This record gives sequence, C-alpha cells and structure tokens, in this order.
Amino acid sequence: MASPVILAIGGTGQHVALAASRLAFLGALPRMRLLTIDADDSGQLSKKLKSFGGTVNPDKPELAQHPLDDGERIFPPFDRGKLANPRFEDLLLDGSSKTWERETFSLLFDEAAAGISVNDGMFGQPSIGATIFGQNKDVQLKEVFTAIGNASYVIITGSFIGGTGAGIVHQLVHAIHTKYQTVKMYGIFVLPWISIAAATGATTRTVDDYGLKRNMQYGLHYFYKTTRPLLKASILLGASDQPGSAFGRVQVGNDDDGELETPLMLVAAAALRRLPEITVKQDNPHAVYASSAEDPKSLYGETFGDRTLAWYYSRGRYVQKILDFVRTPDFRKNLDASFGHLGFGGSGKNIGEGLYLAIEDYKKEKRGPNLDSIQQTWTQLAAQYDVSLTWLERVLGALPPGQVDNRLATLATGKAVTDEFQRSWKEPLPKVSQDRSPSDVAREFYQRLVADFEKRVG
Amino acid sequence: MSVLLPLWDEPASWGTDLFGSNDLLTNGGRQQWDIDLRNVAAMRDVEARALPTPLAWPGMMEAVLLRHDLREHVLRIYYRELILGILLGNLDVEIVDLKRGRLGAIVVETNELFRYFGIIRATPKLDRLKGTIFGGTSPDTLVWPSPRTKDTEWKALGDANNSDQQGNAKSLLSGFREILQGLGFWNPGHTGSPPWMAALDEVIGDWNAAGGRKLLDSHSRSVGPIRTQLGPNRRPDAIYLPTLERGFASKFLRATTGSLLEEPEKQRVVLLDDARVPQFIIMKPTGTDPGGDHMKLAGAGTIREDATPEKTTKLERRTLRLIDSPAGKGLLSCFPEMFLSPPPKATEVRRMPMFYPDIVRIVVTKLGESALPNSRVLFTPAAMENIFSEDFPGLPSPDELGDSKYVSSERWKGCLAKLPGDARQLVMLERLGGEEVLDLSALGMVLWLYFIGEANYENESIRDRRSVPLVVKESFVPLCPDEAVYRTVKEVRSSPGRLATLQRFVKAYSQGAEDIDQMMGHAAKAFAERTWKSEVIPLGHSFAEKNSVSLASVRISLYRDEK
Repeated sequence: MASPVILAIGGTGQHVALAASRLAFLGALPRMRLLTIDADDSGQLSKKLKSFGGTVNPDKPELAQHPLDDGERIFPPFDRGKLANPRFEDLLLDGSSKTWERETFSLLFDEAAAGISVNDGMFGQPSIGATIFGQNKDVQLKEVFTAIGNASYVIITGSFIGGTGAGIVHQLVHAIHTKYQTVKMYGIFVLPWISIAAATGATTRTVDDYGLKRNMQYGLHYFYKTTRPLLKASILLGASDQPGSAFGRVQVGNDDDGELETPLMLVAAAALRRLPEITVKQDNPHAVYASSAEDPKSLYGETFGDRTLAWYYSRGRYVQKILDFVRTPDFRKNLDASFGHLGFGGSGKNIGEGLYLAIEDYKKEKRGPNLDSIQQTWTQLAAQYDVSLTWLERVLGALPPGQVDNRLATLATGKAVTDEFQRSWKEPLPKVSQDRSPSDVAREFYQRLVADFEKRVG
Repeated sequence: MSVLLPLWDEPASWGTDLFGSNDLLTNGGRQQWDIDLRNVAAMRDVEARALPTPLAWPGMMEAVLLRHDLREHVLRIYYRELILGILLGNLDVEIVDLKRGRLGAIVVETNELFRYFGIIRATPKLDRLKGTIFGGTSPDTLVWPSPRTKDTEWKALGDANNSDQQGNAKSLLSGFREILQGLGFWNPGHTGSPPWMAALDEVIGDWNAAGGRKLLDSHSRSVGPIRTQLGPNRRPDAIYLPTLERGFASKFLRATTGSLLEEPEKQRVVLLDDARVPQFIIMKPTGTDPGGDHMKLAGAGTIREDATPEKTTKLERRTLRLIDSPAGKGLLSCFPEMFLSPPPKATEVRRMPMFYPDIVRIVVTKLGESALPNSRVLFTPAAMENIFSEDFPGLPSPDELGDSKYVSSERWKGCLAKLPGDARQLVMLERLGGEEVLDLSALGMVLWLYFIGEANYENESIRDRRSVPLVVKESFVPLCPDEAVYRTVKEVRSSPGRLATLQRFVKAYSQGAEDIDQMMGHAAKAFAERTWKSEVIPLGHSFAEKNSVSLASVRISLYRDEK
C-alpha cells in the first residue's frame, strides 16, 4: 500500500524531518517515507537526522531502525564526488561547453554567483539552488522521483530563506507536477525562524538577517505566482515577531551547524499530519494556512489522530521506564537465572513467561549472545525514547502534572515496573515458521508494552 | 493568539485552532511581504539571486517593469537602451536553441518559452564593442540587460543610441505598436497583458510618431523571433522586433534577382550578385526539431546584409529568383517550410507583419499574392518595375478589392479581371502609391490604335502598321502592352480634334459583362482621359466593326470605328 512521502529540503527541511522523526517514533505521526535533499549531508545536523540522535547504526541495523523509512539517507542535489570543491560555474560548464552555452550562463548569472563554492550549501542564493536542482534531478535524484511516483501523497517542506531549500522547493514542486500530474502535493514552508547577525571575523556564513528577509520576500512572490497553484494546500510558518515570544527566532552563531531547537519545528511536524486532514474537511483548492500559538506547553494538548501529544509523551515515558529496567545488568542476572543452573530447571516467572519461552527456543550455546542482542536492542529503543522525549521537554517544557497519564504515574516503583512487564510478557509469541532473531524478539516484546499502555486503564 | 508568521500583527482570525486560514493569506499575504524593490543605480545592487529560479534576471526585469514608480531603476534604464539599440541597429539578436545544452535544458524545463533564446549583442556600428553581449530575450519583457556588461559599455551604447535617428526609431516602434493596437493585442496594464507593452509605451513617450508603418514596411529589417504571450487566453506567439535600415526591403528584393547559394554547414542561404559577391545572408538553422515552428523559432528566414566593407554590387537582371528555374534554385524552395507548407496568406502577412520572418514579410508585403507559390495573380512587368524603389508600398491584393473589380484610392488605382476559363486573375494598375504604372492607359492606347485603324490583329498579336507587336506575344501576362507603348503613353499629348472619336471609343468598350470586357472598358477610359486631360463620356453612334480575337489564349473583343 502506498505511503505518504515527506520531501525535506535543505537545513530547515532537516529540522522538520528531525522533529517528525521524534513524533513518528512516539506514534503521534504515522510511519512515512522521508526523502531528504541537501548539499550538506555531513554536518552535525545531518548526522543527527540520519542516525536519529546517534541511535541508528548503519553497521547494526537490526538493533535500531529510523522512525521514518529512508531516514538514514540524505540525497545531495549534485554529485559531490565528481569535482573537488566545485564552483557553481564548474557544475554547468566544462571544456566541451560551446561558446553560446558560456554566453547564456554569463547572462543568467553574474561573476559572484559563478564563483560560489557550492559544496557546503547555496549560501543564501536561491537562484543557484534552483539551477543545481534542475541540472541534477534526473540523475542524482532519480530514486527520489521514483519514490514520489509511488506515494499516496507528497508533503514538501523547507524554507524560503536560505539557498538550498529556497531554491529547490519551487523547482521541485514544478518538476513533480510536470512528471506526475495526479500526485497530491502539499507544502509546509518556513519563513524566517532564525536570526543571523552580520558575520564578524572568520566564518562560513555568508547570509544574514537582511538576506533572510529578502529571500523570504522573493520566495513568497514566486510562491504565490508560480508554486502555490500546483499544491493542494500549503502552510506558511515562521517565527513570531512578538517580543518575548517562545516561538521567536533562534539566534544562530557564526558556525552553528547542529540542530537549532525551537517549538516551531514541532508545529511544522504536526502539520505533516494535520494539513492533509484539514484539506479533506475544507474544499478550498490551493488554500494557504498558517499556525497560531502562545504557550509551547499548550501543544501537549494538541490532538494527533485521536490522542493528545501528552498521551504519546506519557506512553513514551512508560515504555522507556520499563526498557530502562529490562536492559540493565541486574535484569540480565534474572534472565540468566530463569534458565536454572547449567540451563536446566528454569522458570519464566520473573521475566515474563512469554519471554522465557521465546528464549528457551534458542540452543543453549546461543542463549548468551542472543540475550546480549536482546538487551542491546532494548537499550537502543530506550535511547530513541530519550532522543524524542527530552527534546519535547526542551522545546515545550515539562509536561504539566495534570496531563500526565495515570498509567505512567503508577509506574513509580521497581515492583510496579516488574509487575507491568511480567503481565505484558506473559503470553507466548505466536508460532512462526522460521526462528526469530533476537532483535525481532526484543522488538516484539517492546511492541507489547506499547500496545498494552492503551489497553490498560490507569 | 499570535500568528506564527513574520511581520504579522493581527491575532489569528480562526480562533484557537492550531492551524487556520484567512483571506489575507489566500491573497498574497501582507504588504510587508512584498519584494522591497527600490530604485538602484548599479547592477551589483540588484538582488536577482534571491529569486528561486535559474531565470532570476529575467524575473527581476519583469518585477521592475511591473512597478511604474521605479523609473530610475538601473534595469529600467538599461531596458530602454536595449530597445533603442535594437531599433537603431546598434544591437542584434542571435537566436540559440537552449535545449541542446546542459544549462539550457534546465532553463527550458523551468520555462519552455525560453527554449529559443536571443542573445543580444553589439553590431559593428558600435565599433570596438562589436560582439559584446548586452542582454537576453524573455517572453515577459522581450529583453533584459546582462548583469556582466560594464558601465562603460552601457555608456557607449547610450551615446550611440542618442543619435539623430532616434526619432525615426521611435516612429518605427510606434508603427509596430499601431499594428498590434489594430489587431486588438495592445492592452498595457491589463490582466494577462505582458509587462513589455507598457514599457514600450514609455520608450515612445510623447514622440509624435508619423510614418511608422511606412518605415516598418520599407525601411526596416527584423530581429528575433521572441516568444511572448500577447494576451491571457492566447497561445504563445513569436514576434519579430524591427530595426531601422534605410531601403532594406528594396535592397533585399533587388538582391533576389541575383543567385542563391545554400550553405547548410554555415546554416544559411547567401544571396549573390551577378559577380557572385555576397549581398545578403538569410539564416537557415539546421538540426532543429522536425515539424511545427521550430525552424522559424530558431531564426530561419531572418536576414543580414553582408558586412563586407566597400563591397560592390552588380545586379542587372529584373526577374526575382523566387521560383526554381534552369538558372538555379528559387527562394521559395530554399525555405519550403516558410512558403510551401502551408503557403502564408498575403492578407495575414500584411495585417500582422511582425509575426513573420523577413523573407516572408518583405516578399509578401511588397509582392502580395504574386510572390506565393502557384500564385494565380498576375501583374504586368511595368507594375513589377516599381518594386525596387525604396518607398514602394507593395502590390495590391485582390482581397483589397472586395466585390469591386476597380479601385481608385490613395494607395492604388487599377482593375482586376478574372481571365475567362482560367483561375488566374489579371491586375492592371494605373497608379500605385505616388507612382504612375499606366497599365490601363497603355492597354487603352493599343485598343485605340486598333479602333482608329492604325493597328491590326495579325499573327496572334495586335501590331502597328509596321507589324511591330503592340502586345507582348509570349508574356506570361496576357494583354501585356509592349514597353514601347508604355513609353509613348507616358508622353501622350492631348488631341483636341478627337474628342468625338474618343467618346465613340469609350462607348464601344463600355459594354460587355465579363471581367475582361470591363477591364478593357477601364483601359479605354484611362487612355481617353489621359489624352483629353478630362473626363470622356461614352457618346456617339456605335462601332462599325467588332472582332473576337485570341491573345495569349484569352479571347477578347476588338472594336473598329467607322472609316
């Protein structure tokens, strides 16, 4: 069955994607496919996104998965290996270029643009981003376009303020529309949300607040004229100018290349779910929406599907608490002890009967390493909860006590934790034709915790 | 609740929902979101790079032209110089097919109307700057300035544009505008109207432009084409911009009496004079996509005069090399896609000349239907003689006659006859523009000489007493008087004693219902009134003799007076 695709463009797109990954991990967003396009795929932000906060290891994919399909990948808009530190001009002209091609290039781009070194981004020049995208999309982004063709719908997210996102976003919409006239497209476009002071001293930055505003204005001009009519609906989002607003701009230092945390990105991620829902209810083709909020904590009360964000947070903390218990060396002792001396005469009472039976199926000599793998899997899952939940606390503030779900509140003692997982893991796993890997076993019992949170009344 | 948008003061109009919309968002947002365009004096201060498209500079040109308050913006100032430069021949437009290149493919995918792209560069008139690139073409603005041209180069162009021909250039542009106005396409400022229309209005300004159409028809050549959309519900058109060049049409037509040399490797056809010296170059791009208008959009049919300095010209023939002959290939078959498939309509070319390349525009404007393949319209050699004069207004089109067969207007005076048993139409002109042609008077003189017995029908021609043919026997134009008759009729004196005879002559030829009979009636009248210098009414007793004869397979009636 076709699934939705998120197209995250540039640095802002990566921020939205990271926020979306966290919400998806918590279950607030459905599983979607993520296709990230950015020239910068090796900075701190990119590493964080691809590894989901360091929890996904491409060498050990069985231990932890990215919450979004293909989330570990970033598609650069041009082949960085082809030329060492290319200038913009080098991407389009070479020794075989005819005179009229060079002349056309000189007409469309001035000397400053021609000489830009594009490896680390488009330096706030949307016209360059747009051109590079156009040149490479058929080869470099072939896989992206194939995925789009199989999507149930596509949401494109990026900013109008930088160079990469601002340049690529519009041309991407146009290219998708040209290739796939019937694919539903939505847009989540971010206007200035960061503040960059004029550069002082040595820095890699070449864009400042003035440049961001200018790019925004030109981007909006182009959006309303050309891009918006191709989209089913769009959301425009940006930092509030109200003094002291918690949704104000994030100050960017000279060489910041990591994640800049702001509740605005959670709003953008929420829009990934809400925008298609709104347009189903309101028949308003090519509508443009915006968002409003005062207090970030109020976002805990927002509904995702039929549950609030507070509920997903509570469930996350509930599961994380249990995982934090069962991944410990102490619990390992329980696991080992459950199988008795020399592996005979054991009982699953302390670890959950179902888990016991699943482990008992393994050959004795394999039990040790498999138990290691099971606990490693739970460790990574717990880490992923940490990545998601601590981020929520940082950008929204601590969950107000009145919104903490009772189930979480009851998990206050070690015995309560033990009772929970023993109950949840009592039933054996369904029989399957092939042996389950230890990571799969770990994941199955983890899923039971997630599912049981909803079933049990707190 | 605060709206999460920059430069937004009002609270959310949608209540407490996290997401909502309102009219302001739907209709383009706040005014503070508009592009902050101001008058800037230097190209380096133009922030085209902020437009998210490879076509950022043309996009900026459009944005500036849409803002009528930005009169001092550097793009607007250079825009004017580009237009004047093209009009004055200081700049030329070279068309390239962008689809063939890497960058071009990106541009074409962004906007297909840019595929056939014009590079605007200096002509030899700008001396040392010859070949310097000044700008490019665009469907929204026609032209836009290059971001890399130096200030000194712009100054040189500005100085060259500030010539004593600038008034004529504006008149030429005014003629161009006048045609588009007549076609209903000129609606500057209206929804869907391209921004260049208002911009060209500004270039013309308050100039009292007279004679623009005449300049366009006879004293200009065209550059382009440039694709543009003339109105909101029209498919994109391709139009040519005019460049002033004194006598260009007549010089080109004259050159077509020479010979043609096809040079496909150089993508052109060259017109050579009798000494095989190149006179004109006609562009003929090769390797274009088949079908449709690709050849035309790639610049086929545009003409340049050969730039060899101090070249001589030797052209002694009078026959235009339009159709193939034993002497060589004709112009029409060198450009079959322009003339043959399908043939253009003369009335359309004259109505909308800027939609056609010069080889069609000039040939058809000047020669009308007679230039087209399988033409059924015949003009006499005497009429064709005038086509080489600089201000020749062009041979008339049968459509101009409507239902009438005879016209006496400011533009021309003459008669049209459908030849009996034939699809051909013979046009006899007495006057064309301000010049005498005297077809009718000359034919009238032949009929007069027969009427008074000083000529007879012998050997399939009408001959004088010395048996010299008064009508050319083997002309492709029936009833064509000999050159000598034309010379004589030009010098004819009044003949006071012959009024009664003239009246009987006119009366004899005033009968007959067929076109050819009526043409002969007009011929008789023209000669009589030229002789008498006043109107001659049909009067007196009837003719004494009527003979039906055949001239070049056309049967006519000849009348004799009483002896």
